[in-house]
Amino acid sequence: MTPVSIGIIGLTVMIALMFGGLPIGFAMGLVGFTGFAYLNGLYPALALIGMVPYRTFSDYGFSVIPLFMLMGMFAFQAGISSDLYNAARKILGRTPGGLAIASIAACAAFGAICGSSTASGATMAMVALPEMRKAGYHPGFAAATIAVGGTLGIMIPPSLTFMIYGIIAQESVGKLFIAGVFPGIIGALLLMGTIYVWCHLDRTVAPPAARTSFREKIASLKGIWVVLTIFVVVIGGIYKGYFSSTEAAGIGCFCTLVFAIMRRRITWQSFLESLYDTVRISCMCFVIVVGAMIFSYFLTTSRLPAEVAKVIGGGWNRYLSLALIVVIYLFLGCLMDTIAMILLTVPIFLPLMKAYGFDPIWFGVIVTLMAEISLITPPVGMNVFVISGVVRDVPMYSIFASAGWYLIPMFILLMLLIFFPEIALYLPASMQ
Amino acid sequence: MFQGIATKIAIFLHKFGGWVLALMMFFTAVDVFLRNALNRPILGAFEITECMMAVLVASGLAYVSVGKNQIRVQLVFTLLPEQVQRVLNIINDILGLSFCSLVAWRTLVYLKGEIEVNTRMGILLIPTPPFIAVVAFGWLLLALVLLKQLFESIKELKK
Repeated sequence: MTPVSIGIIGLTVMIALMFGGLPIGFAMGLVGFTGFAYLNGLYPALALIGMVPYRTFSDYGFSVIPLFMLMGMFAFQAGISSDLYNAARKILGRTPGGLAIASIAACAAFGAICGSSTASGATMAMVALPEMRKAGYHPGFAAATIAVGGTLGIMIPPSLTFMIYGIIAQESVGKLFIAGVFPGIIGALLLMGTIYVWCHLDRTVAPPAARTSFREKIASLKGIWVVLTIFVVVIGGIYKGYFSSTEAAGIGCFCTLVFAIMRRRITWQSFLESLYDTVRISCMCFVIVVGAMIFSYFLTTSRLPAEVAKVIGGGWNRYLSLALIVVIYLFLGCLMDTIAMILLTVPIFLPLMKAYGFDPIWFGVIVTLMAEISLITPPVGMNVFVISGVVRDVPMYSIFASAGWYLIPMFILLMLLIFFPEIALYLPASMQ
Repeated sequence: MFQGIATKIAIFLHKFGGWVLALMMFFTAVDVFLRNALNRPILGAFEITECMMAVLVASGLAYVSVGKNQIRVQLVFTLLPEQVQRVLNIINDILGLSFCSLVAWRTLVYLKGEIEVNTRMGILLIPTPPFIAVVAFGWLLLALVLLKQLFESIKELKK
Protein backbone atom coordinates (compact mmCIF):
# COMPACT_ATOMS: atom_id res chain seq x y z
CA MET A 1 0.00 0.00 0.00
CA THR A 2 1.24 3.49 -0.77
CA PRO A 3 1.67 6.07 2.01
CA VAL A 4 -1.18 8.07 0.47
CA SER A 5 -3.53 5.07 0.76
CA ILE A 6 -2.49 4.71 4.40
CA GLY A 7 -3.25 8.40 4.85
CA ILE A 8 -6.74 7.99 3.38
CA ILE A 9 -7.42 4.89 5.52
CA GLY A 10 -6.17 6.74 8.60
CA LEU A 11 -8.42 9.69 7.89
CA THR A 12 -11.42 7.41 7.37
CA VAL A 13 -10.77 5.43 10.56
CA MET A 14 -10.33 8.65 12.51
CA ILE A 15 -13.64 10.05 11.31
CA ALA A 16 -15.33 6.72 12.09
CA LEU A 17 -13.89 6.76 15.63
CA MET A 18 -15.01 10.37 16.11
CA PHE A 19 -18.55 9.53 15.04
CA GLY A 20 -18.46 6.49 17.29
CA GLY A 21 -18.16 8.88 20.23
CA LEU A 22 -14.43 8.65 20.99
CA PRO A 23 -13.19 12.07 22.19
CA ILE A 24 -11.74 13.95 19.21
CA GLY A 25 -8.27 14.38 20.72
CA PHE A 26 -7.93 10.67 21.49
CA ALA A 27 -9.18 9.68 18.02
CA MET A 28 -6.68 11.96 16.30
CA GLY A 29 -3.82 10.92 18.59
CA LEU A 30 -4.45 7.19 18.34
CA VAL A 31 -4.82 7.13 14.56
CA GLY A 32 -1.90 9.52 14.16
CA PHE A 33 0.32 7.30 16.31
CA THR A 34 -0.73 4.06 14.58
CA GLY A 35 -0.36 5.54 11.09
CA PHE A 36 3.00 7.12 11.90
CA ALA A 37 4.21 3.80 13.34
CA TYR A 38 3.10 1.95 10.19
CA LEU A 39 4.87 4.39 7.88
CA ASN A 40 8.00 5.15 9.89
CA GLY A 41 8.41 2.30 12.36
CA LEU A 42 7.33 1.77 15.96
CA TYR A 43 10.25 3.44 17.73
CA PRO A 44 10.00 6.81 15.95
CA ALA A 45 6.26 6.78 16.68
CA LEU A 46 6.84 6.01 20.37
CA ALA A 47 9.40 8.81 20.54
CA LEU A 48 6.92 11.15 18.87
CA ILE A 49 4.12 10.63 21.37
CA GLY A 50 6.58 10.99 24.22
CA MET A 51 7.75 14.37 23.00
CA VAL A 52 4.66 16.06 21.55
CA PRO A 53 2.58 16.49 24.76
CA TYR A 54 5.32 18.26 26.75
CA ARG A 55 6.38 20.43 23.81
CA THR A 56 2.76 21.39 23.14
CA PHE A 57 1.87 22.16 26.73
CA SER A 58 5.00 24.22 27.30
CA ASP A 59 4.77 26.13 24.02
CA TYR A 60 4.87 29.86 24.72
CA GLY A 61 2.59 30.58 21.74
CA PHE A 62 -0.17 28.44 23.23
CA SER A 63 -0.33 30.54 26.40
CA VAL A 64 -2.64 32.98 24.57
CA ILE A 65 -5.42 30.40 24.77
CA PRO A 66 -5.96 30.29 28.57
CA LEU A 67 -5.17 33.98 29.01
CA PHE A 68 -7.66 35.26 26.46
CA MET A 69 -10.24 32.76 27.72
CA LEU A 70 -9.77 34.09 31.22
CA MET A 71 -10.27 37.62 29.93
CA GLY A 72 -13.65 36.56 28.50
CA MET A 73 -14.59 34.92 31.81
CA PHE A 74 -13.75 38.08 33.77
CA ALA A 75 -15.70 40.17 31.24
CA PHE A 76 -18.71 37.93 31.81
CA GLN A 77 -18.38 38.13 35.59
CA ALA A 78 -18.00 41.92 35.38
CA GLY A 79 -21.38 42.17 33.67
CA ILE A 80 -19.88 43.94 30.66
CA SER A 81 -22.35 42.13 28.40
CA SER A 82 -25.30 43.76 30.22
CA ASP A 83 -23.73 47.22 29.92
CA LEU A 84 -23.14 46.75 26.21
CA TYR A 85 -26.62 45.48 25.52
CA ASN A 86 -28.18 48.22 27.60
CA ALA A 87 -26.38 50.92 25.61
CA ALA A 88 -27.16 49.33 22.23
CA ARG A 89 -30.81 48.81 23.21
CA LYS A 90 -31.30 52.43 24.19
CA ILE A 91 -29.68 53.74 21.02
CA LEU A 92 -31.10 51.29 18.48
CA GLY A 93 -34.15 49.80 20.19
CA ARG A 94 -36.82 52.05 18.67
CA THR A 95 -36.43 50.87 15.06
CA PRO A 96 -38.24 47.70 13.93
CA GLY A 97 -35.98 44.84 14.93
CA GLY A 98 -34.03 47.36 17.01
CA LEU A 99 -33.50 45.00 19.93
CA ALA A 100 -32.15 42.36 17.55
CA ILE A 101 -29.87 44.94 15.92
CA ALA A 102 -28.79 45.98 19.40
CA SER A 103 -28.06 42.35 20.24
CA ILE A 104 -25.79 42.03 17.22
CA ALA A 105 -24.00 45.27 18.15
CA ALA A 106 -23.57 44.07 21.73
CA CYS A 107 -22.37 40.64 20.54
CA ALA A 108 -19.79 42.30 18.28
CA ALA A 109 -18.60 44.53 21.11
CA PHE A 110 -18.48 41.63 23.55
CA GLY A 111 -16.55 39.66 20.91
CA ALA A 112 -13.87 42.32 21.23
CA ILE A 113 -13.04 41.07 24.70
CA CYS A 114 -14.15 37.45 24.49
CA GLY A 115 -12.57 34.98 22.07
CA SER A 116 -15.20 32.27 22.10
CA SER A 117 -18.38 32.21 20.04
CA THR A 118 -20.28 29.91 22.32
CA ALA A 119 -19.32 31.97 25.36
CA SER A 120 -20.39 35.20 23.58
CA GLY A 121 -23.67 33.60 22.49
CA ALA A 122 -24.46 32.12 25.89
CA THR A 123 -23.65 35.36 27.69
CA MET A 124 -25.71 37.55 25.39
CA ALA A 125 -28.57 35.05 25.42
CA MET A 126 -28.99 35.54 29.14
CA VAL A 127 -29.00 39.32 28.77
CA ALA A 128 -30.80 40.01 25.48
CA LEU A 129 -33.24 37.15 24.98
CA PRO A 130 -35.58 37.94 27.89
CA GLU A 131 -35.81 41.55 26.64
CA MET A 132 -36.64 40.50 23.09
CA ARG A 133 -39.21 37.96 24.26
CA LYS A 134 -40.80 40.60 26.50
CA ALA A 135 -41.02 42.98 23.53
CA GLY A 136 -42.96 40.36 21.55
CA TYR A 137 -40.20 39.19 19.21
CA HIS A 138 -40.67 35.90 17.38
CA PRO A 139 -38.92 33.38 19.69
CA GLY A 140 -37.06 31.55 16.90
CA PHE A 141 -35.93 34.83 15.35
CA ALA A 142 -34.72 36.20 18.69
CA ALA A 143 -32.81 33.04 19.57
CA ALA A 144 -31.29 32.75 16.08
CA THR A 145 -30.15 36.39 16.24
CA ILE A 146 -28.18 35.72 19.41
CA ALA A 147 -26.78 32.46 18.03
CA VAL A 148 -25.56 34.26 14.91
CA GLY A 149 -24.37 37.34 16.80
CA GLY A 150 -22.33 35.08 19.07
CA THR A 151 -20.39 33.76 16.09
CA LEU A 152 -18.86 37.24 15.68
CA GLY A 153 -16.84 36.40 18.79
CA ILE A 154 -14.39 34.34 16.75
CA MET A 155 -13.99 36.86 13.93
CA ILE A 156 -13.49 39.95 16.07
CA PRO A 157 -10.23 39.64 18.00
CA PRO A 158 -9.29 38.08 20.34
CA SER A 159 -10.39 34.81 18.80
CA LEU A 160 -9.84 31.20 19.81
CA THR A 161 -10.14 30.13 16.17
CA PHE A 162 -7.41 32.52 15.07
CA MET A 163 -5.19 31.28 17.90
CA ILE A 164 -5.62 27.64 16.87
CA TYR A 165 -5.21 28.45 13.17
CA GLY A 166 -2.12 30.58 13.85
CA ILE A 167 -0.44 27.80 15.79
CA ILE A 168 -1.25 25.07 13.25
CA ALA A 169 -0.41 27.24 10.22
CA GLN A 170 2.63 28.75 11.96
CA GLU A 171 1.37 32.24 11.23
CA SER A 172 1.45 35.26 13.53
CA VAL A 173 -1.55 35.18 15.87
CA GLY A 174 -1.21 38.96 16.24
CA LYS A 175 -1.53 39.48 12.48
CA LEU A 176 -4.52 37.15 12.35
CA PHE A 177 -6.21 39.12 15.13
CA ILE A 178 -5.67 42.36 13.29
CA ALA A 179 -6.88 40.77 10.02
CA GLY A 180 -10.19 39.91 11.71
CA VAL A 181 -11.04 43.49 12.68
CA PHE A 182 -12.56 44.74 9.39
CA PRO A 183 -14.28 41.46 8.42
CA GLY A 184 -15.75 41.35 11.94
CA ILE A 185 -17.10 44.89 11.70
CA ILE A 186 -18.43 44.37 8.16
CA GLY A 187 -19.97 41.04 9.22
CA ALA A 188 -21.76 42.77 12.12
CA LEU A 189 -23.02 45.55 9.82
CA LEU A 190 -24.27 43.02 7.26
CA LEU A 191 -26.14 41.12 9.97
CA MET A 192 -27.69 44.36 11.23
CA GLY A 193 -28.70 45.28 7.68
CA THR A 194 -30.33 41.89 7.23
CA ILE A 195 -32.35 42.35 10.40
CA TYR A 196 -33.38 45.83 9.31
CA VAL A 197 -34.63 44.59 5.92
CA TRP A 198 -36.22 41.46 7.39
CA CYS A 199 -38.14 43.39 10.03
CA HIS A 200 -39.33 45.94 7.49
CA LEU A 201 -40.62 43.17 5.25
CA ASP A 202 -42.26 41.25 8.10
CA ARG A 203 -43.30 43.60 10.90
CA THR A 204 -44.75 40.80 13.03
CA VAL A 205 -41.31 39.32 13.65
CA ALA A 206 -39.99 42.17 15.76
CA PRO A 207 -42.15 45.08 16.89
CA PRO A 208 -40.42 48.37 17.88
CA ALA A 209 -39.40 48.73 21.51
CA ALA A 210 -40.20 51.63 23.85
CA ARG A 211 -38.80 55.06 23.03
CA THR A 212 -35.86 56.33 25.09
CA SER A 213 -34.88 59.93 25.67
CA PHE A 214 -31.67 61.49 24.34
CA ARG A 215 -30.36 61.81 27.88
CA GLU A 216 -30.93 58.10 28.52
CA LYS A 217 -29.07 57.29 25.31
CA ILE A 218 -26.06 59.36 26.34
CA ALA A 219 -26.11 57.98 29.88
CA SER A 220 -26.09 54.41 28.57
CA LEU A 221 -22.79 55.04 26.77
CA LYS A 222 -20.89 55.08 30.03
CA GLY A 223 -20.90 51.29 30.05
CA ILE A 224 -19.06 51.14 26.74
CA TRP A 225 -15.78 52.87 27.61
CA VAL A 226 -14.42 49.80 29.39
CA VAL A 227 -14.70 47.58 26.33
CA LEU A 228 -13.31 50.31 24.15
CA THR A 229 -10.34 50.84 26.46
CA ILE A 230 -9.55 47.14 26.78
CA PHE A 231 -9.88 46.65 23.02
CA VAL A 232 -7.66 49.61 22.22
CA VAL A 233 -5.03 48.50 24.74
CA VAL A 234 -5.01 44.85 23.64
CA ILE A 235 -5.45 45.09 19.88
CA GLY A 236 -3.79 48.51 19.59
CA GLY A 237 -0.82 47.16 21.54
CA ILE A 238 -0.47 44.21 19.16
CA TYR A 239 -0.97 46.46 16.11
CA LYS A 240 1.60 48.98 17.24
CA GLY A 241 4.05 46.24 18.18
CA TYR A 242 4.19 47.17 21.87
CA PHE A 243 3.60 43.57 22.88
CA SER A 244 3.06 40.06 21.57
CA SER A 245 -0.36 38.41 21.56
CA THR A 246 0.47 36.47 24.74
CA GLU A 247 1.47 39.67 26.51
CA ALA A 248 -1.63 41.39 25.17
CA ALA A 249 -3.71 38.56 26.60
CA GLY A 250 -2.07 38.96 30.02
CA ILE A 251 -2.59 42.72 30.01
CA GLY A 252 -6.18 42.45 28.76
CA CYS A 253 -6.98 39.87 31.40
CA PHE A 254 -5.47 42.00 34.14
CA CYS A 255 -7.29 45.17 32.99
CA THR A 256 -10.64 43.35 32.86
CA LEU A 257 -10.07 41.98 36.36
CA VAL A 258 -9.16 45.43 37.69
CA PHE A 259 -12.31 46.87 36.11
CA ALA A 260 -14.45 44.11 37.62
CA ILE A 261 -12.93 44.75 41.05
CA MET A 262 -13.34 48.52 40.75
CA ARG A 263 -17.00 48.13 39.88
CA ARG A 264 -17.40 45.57 42.70
CA ARG A 265 -18.80 43.13 40.21
CA ILE A 266 -16.56 40.20 40.93
CA THR A 267 -16.66 38.20 44.13
CA TRP A 268 -13.97 35.93 45.45
CA GLN A 269 -16.12 32.97 44.46
CA SER A 270 -16.69 34.18 40.90
CA PHE A 271 -12.97 34.96 40.56
CA LEU A 272 -12.16 31.38 41.48
CA GLU A 273 -14.88 30.04 39.19
CA SER A 274 -13.40 32.02 36.30
CA LEU A 275 -9.97 30.52 36.94
CA TYR A 276 -11.25 26.95 37.26
CA ASP A 277 -13.55 27.18 34.24
CA THR A 278 -10.75 28.59 32.13
CA VAL A 279 -8.40 25.76 33.09
CA ARG A 280 -11.09 23.18 32.30
CA ILE A 281 -11.95 24.65 28.89
CA SER A 282 -8.30 25.23 27.98
CA CYS A 283 -7.43 21.63 28.83
CA MET A 284 -10.35 20.42 26.69
CA CYS A 285 -8.73 22.27 23.79
CA PHE A 286 -5.21 21.08 24.61
CA VAL A 287 -6.20 17.40 24.49
CA ILE A 288 -7.41 18.01 20.92
CA VAL A 289 -4.34 20.04 20.03
CA VAL A 290 -1.99 17.23 21.19
CA GLY A 291 -4.00 14.69 19.17
CA ALA A 292 -3.98 16.99 16.15
CA MET A 293 -0.23 17.51 16.39
CA ILE A 294 0.41 13.76 16.38
CA PHE A 295 -2.10 13.32 13.56
CA SER A 296 -0.51 16.07 11.48
CA TYR A 297 2.90 14.31 11.70
CA PHE A 298 1.21 11.22 10.29
CA LEU A 299 -0.58 13.18 7.57
CA THR A 300 2.63 14.87 6.51
CA THR A 301 4.57 11.61 6.23
CA SER A 302 1.68 10.01 4.33
CA ARG A 303 2.03 12.83 1.76
CA LEU A 304 -1.75 13.04 1.63
CA PRO A 305 -1.87 16.87 1.84
CA ALA A 306 0.63 17.13 -1.03
CA GLU A 307 -1.40 14.69 -3.13
CA VAL A 308 -4.66 16.51 -2.37
CA ALA A 309 -2.92 19.72 -3.43
CA LYS A 310 -1.85 18.00 -6.65
CA VAL A 311 -5.34 16.64 -7.39
CA ILE A 312 -7.32 19.78 -6.50
CA GLY A 313 -4.60 22.03 -7.81
CA GLY A 314 -3.99 20.13 -11.01
CA GLY A 315 -4.44 23.04 -13.38
CA TRP A 316 -7.78 24.12 -11.93
CA ASN A 317 -8.79 27.72 -11.68
CA ARG A 318 -7.71 28.83 -8.20
CA TYR A 319 -11.16 30.18 -7.38
CA LEU A 320 -12.71 26.86 -8.34
CA SER A 321 -10.37 25.12 -5.89
CA LEU A 322 -11.27 27.67 -3.25
CA ALA A 323 -14.98 27.08 -3.93
CA LEU A 324 -14.46 23.34 -3.47
CA ILE A 325 -12.68 23.95 -0.18
CA VAL A 326 -15.52 26.21 0.98
CA VAL A 327 -18.02 23.44 0.15
CA ILE A 328 -15.92 20.92 2.10
CA TYR A 329 -15.88 23.31 5.07
CA LEU A 330 -19.65 23.74 4.82
CA PHE A 331 -20.07 19.98 4.86
CA LEU A 332 -17.60 19.34 7.68
CA GLY A 333 -18.97 22.27 9.64
CA CYS A 334 -22.35 20.60 9.70
CA LEU A 335 -20.82 17.52 11.27
CA MET A 336 -18.04 18.42 13.64
CA ASP A 337 -16.67 20.82 16.19
CA THR A 338 -14.95 23.92 14.76
CA ILE A 339 -11.61 23.36 16.52
CA ALA A 340 -11.44 19.78 15.27
CA MET A 341 -12.41 20.93 11.78
CA ILE A 342 -9.62 23.48 11.70
CA LEU A 343 -7.01 21.15 13.15
CA LEU A 344 -7.97 18.47 10.67
CA THR A 345 -8.22 20.53 7.50
CA VAL A 346 -5.68 23.33 7.74
CA PRO A 347 -2.62 21.05 7.34
CA ILE A 348 -4.27 19.65 4.18
CA PHE A 349 -5.65 22.82 2.58
CA LEU A 350 -3.12 25.46 3.55
CA PRO A 351 -0.26 24.20 1.32
CA LEU A 352 -2.70 24.19 -1.60
CA MET A 353 -3.87 27.71 -0.89
CA LYS A 354 -0.28 28.90 -0.60
CA ALA A 355 0.58 27.18 -3.90
CA TYR A 356 -2.26 29.10 -5.52
CA GLY A 357 -0.88 32.34 -4.21
CA PHE A 358 -3.55 32.98 -1.57
CA ASP A 359 -2.28 34.71 1.54
CA PRO A 360 -2.22 32.40 4.60
CA ILE A 361 -3.49 35.20 6.87
CA TRP A 362 -6.37 35.82 4.46
CA PHE A 363 -7.09 32.08 4.37
CA GLY A 364 -7.21 32.13 8.18
CA VAL A 365 -9.99 34.71 7.96
CA ILE A 366 -11.85 32.56 5.41
CA VAL A 367 -11.49 29.48 7.64
CA THR A 368 -12.77 31.49 10.60
CA LEU A 369 -15.77 32.66 8.60
CA MET A 370 -16.51 29.06 7.65
CA ALA A 371 -16.19 28.16 11.33
CA GLU A 372 -18.72 30.89 12.11
CA ILE A 373 -21.14 29.44 9.56
CA SER A 374 -20.63 25.95 10.98
CA LEU A 375 -21.77 27.19 14.37
CA ILE A 376 -25.30 27.87 13.09
CA THR A 377 -25.82 25.13 10.51
CA PRO A 378 -27.67 21.92 11.42
CA PRO A 379 -27.29 19.28 12.66
CA VAL A 380 -24.22 20.28 14.72
CA GLY A 381 -24.69 24.04 15.09
CA MET A 382 -22.97 24.51 18.41
CA ASN A 383 -24.20 28.05 19.01
CA VAL A 384 -27.78 27.03 18.30
CA PHE A 385 -27.36 24.18 20.80
CA VAL A 386 -26.08 26.58 23.43
CA ILE A 387 -28.88 29.10 22.89
CA SER A 388 -31.42 26.31 22.81
CA GLY A 389 -30.13 25.27 26.24
CA VAL A 390 -30.90 28.77 27.53
CA VAL A 391 -34.42 28.99 25.97
CA ARG A 392 -35.76 25.51 26.40
CA ASP A 393 -39.30 26.43 25.30
CA VAL A 394 -38.19 27.39 21.77
CA PRO A 395 -37.91 24.37 19.44
CA MET A 396 -34.47 23.92 17.95
CA TYR A 397 -35.80 23.63 14.38
CA SER A 398 -37.37 27.07 14.76
CA ILE A 399 -33.96 28.53 15.69
CA PHE A 400 -32.23 26.73 12.82
CA ALA A 401 -34.93 27.90 10.39
CA SER A 402 -34.44 31.54 11.35
CA ALA A 403 -30.67 31.19 11.47
CA GLY A 404 -30.78 29.99 7.86
CA TRP A 405 -31.64 33.52 6.70
CA TYR A 406 -28.52 34.84 8.34
CA LEU A 407 -26.41 32.71 6.03
CA ILE A 408 -27.12 35.28 3.28
CA PRO A 409 -25.06 38.10 4.88
CA MET A 410 -22.38 35.60 5.82
CA PHE A 411 -22.03 34.46 2.22
CA ILE A 412 -22.00 38.09 1.10
CA LEU A 413 -19.09 38.64 3.49
CA LEU A 414 -17.38 35.56 2.05
CA MET A 415 -17.74 36.96 -1.47
CA LEU A 416 -16.45 40.34 -0.34
CA LEU A 417 -13.42 38.70 1.24
CA ILE A 418 -12.70 36.66 -1.88
CA PHE A 419 -12.97 39.57 -4.30
CA PHE A 420 -11.55 42.22 -1.98
CA PRO A 421 -8.91 40.40 0.11
CA GLU A 422 -7.62 43.81 1.26
CA ILE A 423 -10.54 43.85 3.71
CA ALA A 424 -8.58 41.30 5.73
CA LEU A 425 -5.06 42.15 4.61
CA TYR A 426 -4.90 45.93 4.77
CA LEU A 427 -4.41 46.22 8.54
CA PRO A 428 -1.87 43.36 8.93
CA ALA A 429 0.18 44.86 6.08
CA SER A 430 0.37 48.18 7.91
CA MET A 431 1.32 46.63 11.27
CA GLN A 432 4.47 47.80 13.00
CA MET B 1 -10.84 3.03 46.01
CA PHE B 2 -7.62 3.76 44.14
CA GLN B 3 -9.55 5.35 41.29
CA GLY B 4 -11.53 7.41 43.80
CA ILE B 5 -8.27 8.85 45.09
CA ALA B 6 -7.24 9.60 41.49
CA THR B 7 -10.44 11.58 41.02
CA LYS B 8 -9.81 13.56 44.22
CA ILE B 9 -6.26 14.34 43.12
CA ALA B 10 -7.58 15.41 39.70
CA ILE B 11 -10.03 17.84 41.34
CA PHE B 12 -7.31 19.24 43.59
CA LEU B 13 -4.86 19.65 40.72
CA HIS B 14 -7.50 21.36 38.58
CA LYS B 15 -7.83 24.02 41.27
CA PHE B 16 -4.07 24.25 41.54
CA GLY B 17 -3.95 24.84 37.76
CA GLY B 18 -6.34 27.76 38.31
CA TRP B 19 -3.85 29.36 40.66
CA VAL B 20 -1.03 28.84 38.21
CA LEU B 21 -3.17 30.59 35.61
CA ALA B 22 -3.73 33.55 37.95
CA LEU B 23 0.01 33.69 38.57
CA MET B 24 0.70 33.60 34.84
CA MET B 25 -1.70 36.48 34.24
CA PHE B 26 -0.10 38.67 36.93
CA PHE B 27 3.39 37.69 35.84
CA THR B 28 2.72 38.60 32.19
CA ALA B 29 1.11 41.92 33.11
CA VAL B 30 3.99 42.85 35.43
CA ASP B 31 6.57 41.88 32.80
CA VAL B 32 4.89 44.06 30.14
CA PHE B 33 4.63 46.94 32.59
CA LEU B 34 8.28 46.69 33.65
CA ARG B 35 9.45 46.49 30.06
CA ASN B 36 7.36 49.30 28.65
CA ALA B 37 7.26 51.67 31.62
CA LEU B 38 10.66 51.14 33.24
CA ASN B 39 12.55 49.44 30.42
CA ARG B 40 13.42 46.62 32.83
CA PRO B 41 11.86 43.38 31.57
CA ILE B 42 11.96 40.26 33.68
CA LEU B 43 14.87 38.13 32.55
CA GLY B 44 13.67 34.82 31.07
CA ALA B 45 9.97 35.76 31.26
CA PHE B 46 9.42 33.67 28.15
CA GLU B 47 10.84 30.54 29.81
CA ILE B 48 9.00 31.09 33.08
CA THR B 49 5.72 31.36 31.14
CA GLU B 50 6.53 28.10 29.33
CA CYS B 51 7.09 26.36 32.66
CA MET B 52 3.82 27.72 34.04
CA MET B 53 1.98 26.60 30.92
CA ALA B 54 3.26 23.03 31.28
CA VAL B 55 2.12 22.90 34.92
CA LEU B 56 -1.22 24.60 34.17
CA VAL B 57 -2.29 22.26 31.37
CA ALA B 58 -0.95 19.10 32.99
CA SER B 59 -2.80 20.01 36.20
CA GLY B 60 -6.17 20.33 34.56
CA LEU B 61 -5.86 17.42 32.14
CA ALA B 62 -7.45 14.68 34.24
CA TYR B 63 -10.27 16.90 35.50
CA VAL B 64 -11.61 17.25 31.96
CA SER B 65 -12.47 13.56 32.02
CA VAL B 66 -13.74 13.65 35.62
CA GLY B 67 -16.51 15.95 34.43
CA LYS B 68 -16.81 13.95 31.14
CA ASN B 69 -16.05 17.18 29.30
CA GLN B 70 -13.88 15.79 26.49
CA ILE B 71 -14.99 17.26 23.18
CA ARG B 72 -16.68 14.62 21.00
CA VAL B 73 -18.92 14.39 17.97
CA GLN B 74 -22.30 13.35 19.38
CA LEU B 75 -24.25 13.48 16.11
CA VAL B 76 -24.36 9.77 15.22
CA PHE B 77 -23.69 8.43 18.71
CA THR B 78 -26.88 9.83 20.24
CA LEU B 79 -29.00 8.31 17.45
CA LEU B 80 -27.82 4.78 18.26
CA PRO B 81 -29.83 2.39 20.50
CA GLU B 82 -28.95 2.63 24.17
CA GLN B 83 -27.36 -0.82 24.32
CA VAL B 84 -25.09 -0.01 21.37
CA GLN B 85 -24.14 3.26 23.08
CA ARG B 86 -23.14 1.34 26.19
CA VAL B 87 -20.94 -1.03 24.20
CA LEU B 88 -19.38 1.88 22.34
CA ASN B 89 -18.74 3.63 25.64
CA ILE B 90 -16.67 0.66 26.78
CA ILE B 91 -14.74 0.54 23.51
CA ASN B 92 -14.13 4.29 23.69
CA ASP B 93 -12.98 4.07 27.29
CA ILE B 94 -10.54 1.28 26.37
CA LEU B 95 -9.18 3.27 23.42
CA GLY B 96 -8.90 6.46 25.46
CA LEU B 97 -7.23 4.59 28.31
CA SER B 98 -4.76 2.95 25.90
CA PHE B 99 -3.84 6.28 24.33
CA CYS B 100 -3.37 8.10 27.63
CA SER B 101 -1.38 5.22 29.16
CA LEU B 102 0.83 5.14 26.09
CA VAL B 103 1.43 8.88 26.23
CA ALA B 104 2.15 8.75 29.98
CA TRP B 105 4.62 5.87 29.53
CA ARG B 106 6.43 7.49 26.61
CA THR B 107 6.59 10.88 28.36
CA LEU B 108 8.28 9.08 31.27
CA VAL B 109 10.77 7.54 28.82
CA TYR B 110 11.35 11.00 27.35
CA LEU B 111 11.84 12.32 30.89
CA LYS B 112 14.49 9.65 31.56
CA GLY B 113 16.41 10.73 28.45
CA GLU B 114 16.21 14.40 29.43
CA ILE B 115 17.47 13.64 32.96
CA GLU B 116 20.42 11.77 31.50
CA VAL B 117 21.48 14.71 29.33
CA ASN B 118 20.47 17.24 32.01
CA THR B 119 18.47 19.47 29.66
CA ARG B 120 18.04 23.08 30.75
CA MET B 121 16.34 26.12 29.31
CA GLY B 122 18.44 28.71 27.45
CA ILE B 123 18.50 31.83 29.63
CA LEU B 124 17.65 30.98 33.22
CA LEU B 125 19.02 27.44 32.91
CA ILE B 126 15.86 26.03 34.51
CA PRO B 127 16.02 22.21 34.32
CA THR B 128 13.20 20.88 32.12
CA PRO B 129 12.83 17.34 33.63
CA PRO B 130 10.59 18.42 36.57
CA PHE B 131 8.13 19.95 34.12
CA ILE B 132 8.19 16.89 31.86
CA ALA B 133 7.50 14.83 35.00
CA VAL B 134 4.47 16.99 35.76
CA VAL B 135 3.16 16.42 32.24
CA ALA B 136 3.72 12.65 32.53
CA PHE B 137 1.88 12.65 35.86
CA GLY B 138 -1.01 14.59 34.28
CA TRP B 139 -1.45 11.93 31.58
CA LEU B 140 -1.09 9.11 34.12
CA LEU B 141 -3.81 10.64 36.25
CA LEU B 142 -6.02 11.05 33.19
CA ALA B 143 -5.47 7.35 32.41
CA LEU B 144 -6.55 6.43 35.96
CA VAL B 145 -9.69 8.56 35.69
CA LEU B 146 -10.49 6.82 32.40
CA LEU B 147 -9.90 3.43 34.05
CA LYS B 148 -12.51 4.35 36.66
CA GLN B 149 -14.89 5.34 33.89
CA LEU B 150 -14.25 2.05 32.12
CA PHE B 151 -15.33 0.13 35.23
CA GLU B 152 -18.43 2.29 35.46
CA SER B 153 -19.24 1.67 31.79
CA ILE B 154 -18.90 -2.10 32.31
CA LYS B 155 -21.22 -1.91 35.33
CA GLU B 156 -23.68 0.07 33.24
CA LEU B 157 -23.65 -2.59 30.53
CA LYS B 158 -24.37 -5.35 33.06
CA LYS B 159 -27.50 -3.56 34.33
